[in-house]
Formats: sequence, C-alpha cells, structure tokens
Amino acid sequence: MVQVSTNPNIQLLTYSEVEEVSGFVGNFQVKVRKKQAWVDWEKCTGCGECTEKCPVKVPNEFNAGLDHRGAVYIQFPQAVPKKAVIDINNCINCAGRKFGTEPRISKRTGKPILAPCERACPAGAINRSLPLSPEGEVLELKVGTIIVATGFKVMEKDWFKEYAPQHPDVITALQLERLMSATGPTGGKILRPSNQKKPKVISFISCVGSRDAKYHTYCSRVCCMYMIKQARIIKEKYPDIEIYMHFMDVRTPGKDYDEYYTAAIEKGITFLRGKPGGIEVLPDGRLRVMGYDANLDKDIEVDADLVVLATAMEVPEDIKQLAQKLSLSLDASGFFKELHPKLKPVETAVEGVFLAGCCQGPKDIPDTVSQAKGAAAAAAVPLAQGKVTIEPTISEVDPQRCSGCGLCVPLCPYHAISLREYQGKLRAKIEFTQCKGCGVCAAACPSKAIILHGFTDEQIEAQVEALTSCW
Amino acid sequence: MAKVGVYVCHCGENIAGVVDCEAVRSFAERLPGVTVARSYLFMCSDPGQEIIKKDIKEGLVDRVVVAACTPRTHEPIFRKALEAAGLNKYLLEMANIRDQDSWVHPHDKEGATEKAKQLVASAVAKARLLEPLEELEVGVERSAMVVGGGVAGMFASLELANMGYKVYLVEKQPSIGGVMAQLDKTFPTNDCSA
Repeated sequence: MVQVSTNPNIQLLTYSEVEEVSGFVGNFQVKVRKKQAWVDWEKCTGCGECTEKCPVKVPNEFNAGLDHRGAVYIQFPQAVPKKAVIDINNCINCAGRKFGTEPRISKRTGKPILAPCERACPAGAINRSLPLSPEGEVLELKVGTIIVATGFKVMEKDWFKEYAPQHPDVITALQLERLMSATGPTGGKILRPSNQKKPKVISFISCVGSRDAKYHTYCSRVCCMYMIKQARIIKEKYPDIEIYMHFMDVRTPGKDYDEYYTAAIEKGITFLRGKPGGIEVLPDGRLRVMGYDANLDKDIEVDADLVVLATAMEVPEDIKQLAQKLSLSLDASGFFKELHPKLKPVETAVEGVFLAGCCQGPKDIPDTVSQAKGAAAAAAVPLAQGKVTIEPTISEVDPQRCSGCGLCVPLCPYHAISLREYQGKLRAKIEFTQCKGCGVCAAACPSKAIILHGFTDEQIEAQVEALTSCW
Repeated sequence: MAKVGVYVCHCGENIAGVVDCEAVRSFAERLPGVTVARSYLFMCSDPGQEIIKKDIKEGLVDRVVVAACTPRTHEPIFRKALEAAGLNKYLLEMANIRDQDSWVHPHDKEGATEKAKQLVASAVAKARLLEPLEELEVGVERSAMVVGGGVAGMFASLELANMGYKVYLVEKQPSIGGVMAQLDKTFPTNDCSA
C-alpha cells in the first residue's frame, strides 16, 4: 500500500468514483467524482483527534460490524492516505453546526460554539462554516487504457436462517479475521462476541452461499484455504481450543496448498465431510451444530461456543452501474465477463478495458496478483505502441447521397454521428474513432447513403440469397 | 472476376467427426467463382496456412473462404496468412462450421454436412463481393486508469507505473487496500497482508 502511495507515477484518487467514460482505446475521456470528505485533506494529518470526540456510533464496516466508529472516522489505522472523512448521512451536526452555517456565539465566553470534531482538529481541517458542496468535485482524465479491479464483497450471514445468524456468536469468516487481527476490536484475542470470553469449541461451516443452487452455484475458491488458515493460527495460539470443520469437500488445488491442509490435520483439527443442516441455540447460549459425517454416514452434533460461516464471495451491488458506464457485460453469476475464458482472460469486449482480480470471478491472492500483472501487461501494449489501429469494418457516409435528414444521428449507440456542413448543406458525418461498425445507421438510412465496409447491402443480400437457395 | 479459394478445416475430429468434409469440399469446388477448394486436418497450423499462401502466390486465388471455427479466435491468424502472401487481409471470409454446425448437431451427420454446405455457399457469395480495406491509425494517451484499490488494483497500478506510465488509481473508499486490508494473515505463507 505504501509503495503505491509513494510511486511518483501513481496518482491516488481515493474516495472517488467513476462517473462517465467516453472515447475508445488509446483515447478514453473519464469523469471521476471526488466525493465530498467534509474534511480538508490538504490540512488533515490523520491524527485521529476528531474521531475520538465524535459522539455518533455507527457499525464499523472495517471491523465487519463488530464495533463502532464515529460519523467522522479514519477507515483503519494503516489507511493510505491516512485522512479523516465525515459520513454526512450519520452526522448529527453537533451544536447546530450544519456545513455552511455560522456558529452561535457563547453568551458566557463570547466565543463561537463549535462542533466537537472541529474543536478537536489541531490542523484546522474541519471548518463547518464553509458551504462545501455535497456533490464533491468532478475531475476529467484522459487515459489510453483502463483496468477494472473493483473486487468482491462478502455475503451477509443474515440470509442463512438455519444457522442462527442473529446470534452474536455466529460470525462470518471475515468477522473472525477481524477478531484475529491486532488492529481488530479485541486486539487479536479470540473472544466470543456475546460475553467476551475465550471459546472452548469452535465450529467452521464451509460453502455458505457457495455451491448452492439457492444462492450462488459457483465455488468461491478461497474459503477452504482461509478456513484452514484461521483454524491453524487459532490452534497454534490456543492448543486447548477444540476445532471442528464441516466441509462439503476440501478443495486445496494450489501450490503448497494440500500440504498446508495436511499440516492442519496433524495439528489436531477435526475435519468432517458433510454440510450441517442447521444450528440450534442451547439454553446456555451455546450453539449446537447439527452436522453430518459422510465418511461414517452418521449424524453428528457439536456443541460450539463460536461458529464461523464461510460465506460466499459475491459481486457488489454497484457493479451493474459501472458495467453500464464502461459498456461491459456481466456473466451469469454477475461478475465482469472476460473476452475468452482461456485465451483472453483479462481482456473484455471493449477494446482497451481490462479486468483484474475478483471482479472477474472469485480467486485467491496469488491468482489475483498474477492476473493483475497480466492485465497491466495487456493494458500497457497500446501505451507502448503509441498508436492504435482501427478496424476498417466501420460505417461511412457518402455525402453526395446523404439528404441530411439526420435520422441516423440519435440512432447511433456510440454518439459517433453528427450533422456537419458539406458544400453548403448539412450532411451526416461519422467520426471513425467512435464508430464500432454495428450497422444500425446503414440499415436505417432512407437514402442508402451509409455504407458499412465489409458488410455492404450487396454482400449481405448475396449471403442471404445463398443461404436460402436449394443447392 | 474474383477467384475464390475455399479451405475446409477438419479441426481434427471437431468438425470432421460430424461433417463430411470431403463432400463439403467437392460441393464448394462447383460453386460459382470458386477456383480452388481444398481440405486439411488443421487449416490454422503452419502447413495449413502454407496451402492458402501458396495458392495466393501462384495467382490461383484472390479471395479466401476458410470453413473452420470461430473468427473470434482464428480470423486474425488467417488474416495474417493473407497479408504474408501479399493479399489485402480483409479479402477473407470465415464460415463457422464448428461452433455453428458440428458442435450443435453432433448426432445428425447428414444434416450437419448439408448445413456446412449452405454456410460455405453463403461465405463464398459474400467473398466474391469483398473489397480491400485499409486500417486506420490514431495516437494514444500514454496513461492508464485503474478502478479499484484492492490487491488487484494496487498490483496492476504498480506494474504500469514501473513501466513508466502515468496511472490514476480510483478507489471509492477513503483508503486503498480493499478487503485485503481487513485480513490478518494470508495463506499459504501466513504472512501479514498489508
């Protein structure tokens, strides 16, 4: 992360979203909206004083909802850049300090009454008197190629009513990750969220939402390995904790992965093949996992203090909007579709736009790094060549035949056609860099003035005639 | 008059296992405008391409129909062959008798062979009317945008930046790092993720 922020060739645009993309390979114009942080990032030093004074408590996304953050917050301790933002939807505007209003003056001291966050900031980065725009600002970029690497989200546990998702000791694997982390809510101690006591028995359940016709038919590919990793680390730190792992199958097909799994068995972790049917909450608050051992063909019940659900990787909701902005297509599972599953795994149907990481399909970190480096190499090709060739199978207007009716202009899905003056009259003109050769204009032109090179009327009619003849 | 060469590919068993390629070849030979019709085990292989190049160089053929697989993967290969033999590469037409024929009708050999003939006849009809086309070139903005600042976005950005290109890394959260930043240690090396 630090390498990225210190590289002189990389300009970080965080808290920003792609708004609009136009143009074509080699010459994309992009509008990026820099969202309103409500904190002056030029001045903010990331000290965190403001975050401690904010009285608001909202679930902390970074700790997967296991603790709270303020309305003004720094995403996480090692954030890059380390800057505070105000989550304006949850801000309660203490002391009536809505942005863009002057502070009230204290009758007692004669000084302005400020909100706690702005009072706390030693750098003067929060000034609620400023009429900041909630829209932020729009930056315009010109780029040759684009790599989409928008990642995934972890499926919520609430979908799985059979596993008592409302119980605080039923957690997702991402929540366990935060419990294990030194920067997490427990400082790295494994404690049951319900009573902050160390669990004696932990059960893991795999394929929660993956390989399940009700949710996602695909395998999320990382769960087996991260569950084994979590179990191993816990077992190494706390050998007395009993660990039961319920798998549909253990899938460890990566370099050194199966050895990693075998070592987990040797550490005394119990692996059971069979997906549990449900979880029963016992009167003492413990959790009875109603499992099945396929090897013994026997039902098995495990009374656990903590249950970890390996919920599926899935696409974030906003993937569709981005797909629309970039004219990309999605596959049946909702991930971005690559041009060819084997031969063009980082390319897309839009020339100059490439894919990397889990937005293209679930994968682990080694595969993600490989794909990202592959996408970077592919995206560098047009940049290195310094020029792009445009296929000549595109449309062209014969200005002599064109009547200037303008029918084609709104029909073009790529906004490639405009009416321009030609010999004193308005005639349609197709910008060749924008045209994708779809042929909509050529089919619609009442004067037959538009020719789609490589697919002329005569050529297509000859084809149709041949197809409909009896040979 | 255009001189059309038709090249029927067996694609190993992919096409020839269903379609009677010899019947298609001899059918093509009799089509108007066709001067040469040949078939081969793998048209896309070097010796396969050589057959096409030789016919072009000897002046037997000035329009090419390849009855084989999908143009999505193979059109560039055959276009290069045309170019190498001195013919404009847009004087090529492909008839997809694999994806659109042998793969979809594996249990109807006779019907598939008839369909292959129709597809070839159609491609020949178009090929006779093909005209040479020239590619256009435009300059390139030597910079890139990476959308998303997780593992994939960060590595892609670093690679491009290290190659010397300007990179705009767009991330919707206040910090880069993505889901990776939330992870404690990562398999198989158990080292920290950040």
